[in-house]
Amino acid sequence: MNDSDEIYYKRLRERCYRLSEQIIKSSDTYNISLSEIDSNAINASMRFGYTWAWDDDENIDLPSRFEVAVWLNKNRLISLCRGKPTYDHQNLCLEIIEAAPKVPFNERPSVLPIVDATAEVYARLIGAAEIRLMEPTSESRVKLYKRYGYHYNGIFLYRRI
Amino acid sequence: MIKPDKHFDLDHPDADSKANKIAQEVMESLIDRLDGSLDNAPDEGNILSYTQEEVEAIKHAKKERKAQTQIRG
Repeated sequence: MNDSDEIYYKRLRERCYRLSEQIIKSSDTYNISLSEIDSNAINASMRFGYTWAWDDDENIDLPSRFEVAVWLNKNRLISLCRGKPTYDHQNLCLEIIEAAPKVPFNERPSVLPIVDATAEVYARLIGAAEIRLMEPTSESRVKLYKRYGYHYNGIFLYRRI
Repeated sequence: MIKPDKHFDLDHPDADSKANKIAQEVMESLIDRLDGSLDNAPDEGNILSYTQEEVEAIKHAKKERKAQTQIRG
């Protein structure tokens, strides 16, 4: 393992995306692919009609960051998620999970199982024991996350893996 | 606190089988939580699409947090 941190975690994320695509493709009829939040994803996100909450995020240069852009039919951006591990890598904290508002729900799959599975793969690859969903911002999000097995402590939601 | 080592050795001869085991475990975890099938995933509707107001609120909260961190030094 002689890679620099940046190269190592970039390779790790790529591995994570391919593994997660396997999981998703085994049970979903949609054509889903995953990538980093690269310039293609950022350009596609501009078509959301508003600025991102995390466009100036200070974690963008953290080598071990978690990020995923979810694509439908390889060209339609349907979700973005970014997070980071705690310093000891025991927890993976997802700061924002966002679905594309301009894609009607009946034209895309639920994005949460895709993001949830991808985050868990990454968490396991870095040796984390817990996934946290930070600042859920609304009761409806809290309810949705709880249906995926997350517990709410009033500040963030968490799930042991 | 000690910075953790790179947990997963991408170049290890067993990396593929270890990675596939992780994928299998994640798949089982997801299916367990979704009552047996990904087809049972809750209808999320537009819950995960942020409104402009929410985006602004998140940005504001982030700025506040950053400012508090700087005040605390």
